[in-house]
Amino acid sequence: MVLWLALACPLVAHAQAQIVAIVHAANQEALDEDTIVKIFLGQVRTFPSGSEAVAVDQKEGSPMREEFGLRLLKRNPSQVKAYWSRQIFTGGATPPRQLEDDEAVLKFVANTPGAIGYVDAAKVEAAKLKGGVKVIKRISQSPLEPVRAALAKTD
Amino acid sequence: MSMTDDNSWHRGGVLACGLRGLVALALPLAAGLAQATDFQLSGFASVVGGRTYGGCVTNTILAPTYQPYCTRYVADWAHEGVYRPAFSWSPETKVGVQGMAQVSDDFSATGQVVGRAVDGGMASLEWAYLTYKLTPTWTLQVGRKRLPLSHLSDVQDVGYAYHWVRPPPEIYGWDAVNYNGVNATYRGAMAGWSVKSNVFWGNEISRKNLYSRLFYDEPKDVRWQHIMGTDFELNRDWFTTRLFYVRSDYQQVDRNTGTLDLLSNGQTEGRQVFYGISVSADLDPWVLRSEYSLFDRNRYTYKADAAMLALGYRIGDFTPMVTVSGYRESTNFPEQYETMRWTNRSFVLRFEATKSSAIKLQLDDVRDGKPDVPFAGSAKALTLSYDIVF
Repeated sequence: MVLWLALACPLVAHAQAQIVAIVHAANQEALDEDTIVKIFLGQVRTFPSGSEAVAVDQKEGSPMREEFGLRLLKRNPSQVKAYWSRQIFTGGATPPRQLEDDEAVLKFVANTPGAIGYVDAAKVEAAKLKGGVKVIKRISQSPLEPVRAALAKTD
Repeated sequence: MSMTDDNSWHRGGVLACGLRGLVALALPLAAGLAQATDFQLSGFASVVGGRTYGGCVTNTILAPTYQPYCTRYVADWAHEGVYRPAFSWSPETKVGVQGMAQVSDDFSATGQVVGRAVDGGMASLEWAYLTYKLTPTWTLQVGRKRLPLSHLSDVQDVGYAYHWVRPPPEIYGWDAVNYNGVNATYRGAMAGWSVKSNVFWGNEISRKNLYSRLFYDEPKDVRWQHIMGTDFELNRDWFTTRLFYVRSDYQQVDRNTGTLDLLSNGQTEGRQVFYGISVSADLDPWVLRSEYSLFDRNRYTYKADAAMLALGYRIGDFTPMVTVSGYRESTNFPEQYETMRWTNRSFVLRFEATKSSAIKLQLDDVRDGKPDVPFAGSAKALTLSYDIVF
């Protein structure tokens, strides 16, 4: 029963998950939420120190990516899609590379000094690569999230 | 066949043109593909249908082709997309395919083919450029791109990317659409603001110019040469503003005679200067769009002010939006040039059909400001669109 619920309601499950932004363990940058947003929207391509930032996204359509969009980018999936459409078809910013899941993001960030990604906090604790990444920001739940969740349930 | 030849692709139907376009798309990418580590194909499409309503208006400034119709609505100036009293899918339906070959981390090649249903079908290579990342903040692009005259100009073909069926034609409609040249773009941060700035240089020769067909039955070539422009965009959270400046030399050629047309000042060439500002706010659930542009061709014909203000409110998957826009010309040559002015009030309802498609229904109410010598005449237009990106 528990498993069925987890499969049937992945969005709800992620709505309760702790999402964390992670960087390479050797990364010494101090990043606020606003800077992380700019990096993930391709508006800036460097960390505050000037070194290149390589953002990695989760797979389009994944609950984790939708949740990250709502919480940090303050955009629903349609708005995110429209934003990247404006960039892709006009020679603008290039979207972050998409990786399959939390494990793939953890692996990439642990192996790439300039990388920044986001994963379920519980996966960081459990990961064998825990020592290779550093949590740089906990992505808090949006105040509007309970309302959005309620609206989503009525769809 | 020149890339600048807007209509040279306009033969043989959609399929033949599409194939030609795809071949042309492949050419600039071929070299890159050989070594490409990554190739991405993406696209967009808009299926748009509509018609006009309203009382008959005759003797307009439009070309004789449009005189037999009671009402007309110019939805796409640049491609001669005009709605008439009979329902039509032609004026704005389009499909675009883009290929990008990422040759290395710093170097990519991009081509975009757009096919339009307007006037029987058309496919053209509208974007074809090489991108080189000079530094993490500076990018250099060389090739064919869209002229970024207004805030949404370069994304004008991608209906999914904005709220309306089309950005207000009062601002978004000029005789040159693309240019061949070079641009350098800066992306960075300054005091908490995201900054994007672009400088560009180039030329455009638009043969059998479609915009000109709104006014002349005779085919014209339009030349924008020595184009130089810059824009500066600031973004912070929900707020975005953009300033732009573009200038070029202008010439018009009568294709039947092969001679340069005389402009209102009696010369065959004039300097045009465009500049403007846009302000956008996305303060969920509110959406605000505003833009003001000044198009100064008064050294040889006229000067035009164009402005729009739009306010929308997102309710789940629906976003209703009301827009007020206007266009007004003045001239130093009243004996030679008949000015135009009109206003438009529109209502659009956008529905997010899926995560990558939207359905929109838009009603436009155009009031021509010169009933004695109208441009297209007052009219109402109802249009329905299905926009998708893939």
